[in-house]
Amino acid sequence: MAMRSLFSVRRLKKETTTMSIGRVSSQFASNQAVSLLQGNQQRLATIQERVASGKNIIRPSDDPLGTTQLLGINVAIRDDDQFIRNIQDALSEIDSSTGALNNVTDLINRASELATQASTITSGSTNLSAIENELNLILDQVVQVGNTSLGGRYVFGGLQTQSAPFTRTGDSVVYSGSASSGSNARQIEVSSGSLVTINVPGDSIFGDVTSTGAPELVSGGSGLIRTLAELKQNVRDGDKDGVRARLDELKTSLSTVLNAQAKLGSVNNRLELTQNRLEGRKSVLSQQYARIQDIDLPKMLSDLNYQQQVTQASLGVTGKVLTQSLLNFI
Amino acid sequence: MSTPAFFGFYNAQRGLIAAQAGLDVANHNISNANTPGYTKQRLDLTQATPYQTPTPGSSLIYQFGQGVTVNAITRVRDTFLDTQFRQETANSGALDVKKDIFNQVEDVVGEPNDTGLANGIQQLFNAIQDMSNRPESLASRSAFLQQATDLTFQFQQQGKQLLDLHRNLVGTNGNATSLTTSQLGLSVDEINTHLANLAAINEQIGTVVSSGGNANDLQDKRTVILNELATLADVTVTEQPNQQVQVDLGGQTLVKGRFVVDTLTVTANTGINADAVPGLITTTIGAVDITAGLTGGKLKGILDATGLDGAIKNVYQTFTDLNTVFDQLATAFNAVQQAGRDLSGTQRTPPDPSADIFSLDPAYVSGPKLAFYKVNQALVDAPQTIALAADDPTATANFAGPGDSRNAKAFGALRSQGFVPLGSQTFENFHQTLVARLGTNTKSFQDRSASQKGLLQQLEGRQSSVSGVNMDEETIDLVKFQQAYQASSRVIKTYNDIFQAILSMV
Repeated sequence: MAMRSLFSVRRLKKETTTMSIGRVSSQFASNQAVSLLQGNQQRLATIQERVASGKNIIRPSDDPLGTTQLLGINVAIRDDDQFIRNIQDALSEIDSSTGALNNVTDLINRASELATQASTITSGSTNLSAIENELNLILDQVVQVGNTSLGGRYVFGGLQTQSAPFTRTGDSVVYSGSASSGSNARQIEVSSGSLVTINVPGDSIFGDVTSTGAPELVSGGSGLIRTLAELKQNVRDGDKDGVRARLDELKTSLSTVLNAQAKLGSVNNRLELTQNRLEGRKSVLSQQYARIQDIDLPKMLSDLNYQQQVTQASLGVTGKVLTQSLLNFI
Repeated sequence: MSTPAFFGFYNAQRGLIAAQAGLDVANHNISNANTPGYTKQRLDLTQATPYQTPTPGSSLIYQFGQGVTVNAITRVRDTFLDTQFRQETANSGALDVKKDIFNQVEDVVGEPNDTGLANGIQQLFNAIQDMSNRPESLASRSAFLQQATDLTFQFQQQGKQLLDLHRNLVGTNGNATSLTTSQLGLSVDEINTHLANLAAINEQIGTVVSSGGNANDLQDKRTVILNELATLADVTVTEQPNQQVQVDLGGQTLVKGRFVVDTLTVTANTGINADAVPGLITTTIGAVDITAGLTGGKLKGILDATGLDGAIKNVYQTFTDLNTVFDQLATAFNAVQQAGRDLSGTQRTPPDPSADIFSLDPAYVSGPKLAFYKVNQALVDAPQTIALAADDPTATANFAGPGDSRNAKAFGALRSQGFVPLGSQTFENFHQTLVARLGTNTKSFQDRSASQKGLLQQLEGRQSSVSGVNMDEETIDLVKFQQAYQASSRVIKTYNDIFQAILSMV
């Protein structure tokens, strides 16, 4: 009986029903001792399993509610991981678009300087042909920037990411990317169901130009590229009024580029803010996960220690009680 | 007033016999102290009929005690506790089996775990996000197909394990051999063997009792068999006049006296979705279906866990749940695939099964489709044919370009969509519900089985407190009867001395 009361102190799992028995048969006493010892060892094994795995929930029946919570939290954490990955992907693309647009502002500024110079130089000067040559190079560079690619993907081509959006033949530059009037947005998911557009279509920034004849004359097109082609033509012709008109157009182009940069900048900010928010949420979720799933190690170790002592004590007591017999005394 | 000359000798002799019987009973008890089912036996002693003698010259009649008589050797048993014990054994048998089965189902489902289905579904949708970020990348498309292949394998693996478990328990429909070698069939065989043994023991007991004996040890053996029988099925045991018993199950008499009246057989059902419903238990004679009459025992446990108990999600339902969710997933993915345009702008019109993501084996006829799905090899060979671009009527040739990932987003949106076959839940919620329900069921069986064990132990303790052998008690009996024997011997010696004295006077 002393043995039983010792066993019933602080149980980890099920309480085996204690009973009051007047007469104890020898077989029952040993069976009971075996089952109590096994109970102790099972509890010891349970604690050891938890300590070894570091987990509270190993199978759903350990804690059905906790299991569903864990599954839910796990989904949210992995989602956030994925969204953060999406954002980082997008940020690197926005970086390269913004970098490209910085180059364009430099080129526009240089073109404006050249135009200002050209408006003051008398016609027929050799300097004019030098300016014309440089403008030709600038046009080339603008086309090159328009064809910026990142990891094999053309960033200004809209949804036509596989082929270079701008092709220059003579003084004609054709845009073959997605038109800004049609489907052109590349979007990424930054949190459940929320999409962010991360590109600007090339035609809205760079425009295009068609030129015919020899020397080539601009006959159509729009935007920065047309302005540059026309400026080159004006310089060649010594058309100072034309050059001045182009100077105004270059200002408009500059503000178009700056607007696009501002737009990308705000997307960039939004992505960074979202990333911070996601990372914050992820750490909260990870804490929640840990609260449910991670064992309380100090408590477990003290339980383990306690259970070891109980097991030892019960072995000792069992050894003493079971060997008691009248036969020892007669 | 006198007694016959040898009166004292006989008196002492009866004392010797009683003491020896006492020693024999104690000896038997001690020897069987550890025999399962043994009931402590007790020596029933009474005083012998007294010797009456009239006194010459007096009206008084004297009674001289004639010592002791061995009345009987009886079995110390509380039969009411036996009945209770059998009932609880049957309950425990059912719960134990259900607990074991559900533990196995938990092992198969394997949540929460980094390698479970929940994780697999998650990985699949993450792969879609990666594709959506880079629709031009063949690498991300291949990664998605690899995830889809892994997930298919995981689903099929779990499905197969569950189906195997179900069939191991109740056999495969339409396969008679599998039915007899199933757990259910083997349990029924075991019951029939017990029935035969019971009838044989009943016969022996009848013989002993009719010749006026006490069949103590045979009764103990029978109790053991009855308890084993109770683990398998909740039999009703009725005592008959000559200490024989009648055994009934589900309202049908199986054993009566020395005859096996009826045995059990398992018959597979023949319904359309026959795999779902376990085999039925019928009696051989008259073919009465007693399945519904079962309330406990291993039989009931197996049948409950495989489809008889509508309140729990049984093994087969867990399998069909997996089948339903995967079938829905495959169907939904294929529909989105057919609606979009692939990397070269091609759309399948009319829908072309050869471009499906999850293709169904042409060998499929009917029933659960899970095992017949596989990721389309044509797509694995040419991942550019995954339709990630939308069908866009505003674009040239309805194709906005290889950077279009709008259809990839349609794939991604499947994740948060509720589907009618899944009770309007998403794939993941449906799976979570399944896991939660499994956990709750298993925990309930674990808890109930543990408390039932406690109850059984309590009953066993009570029974053993009545019928068990206590060594100290028996040792005391040994000493007691040894002393009685010695004392009786001394009495004989005393009478002998007296006789010697008398004879020496002659």
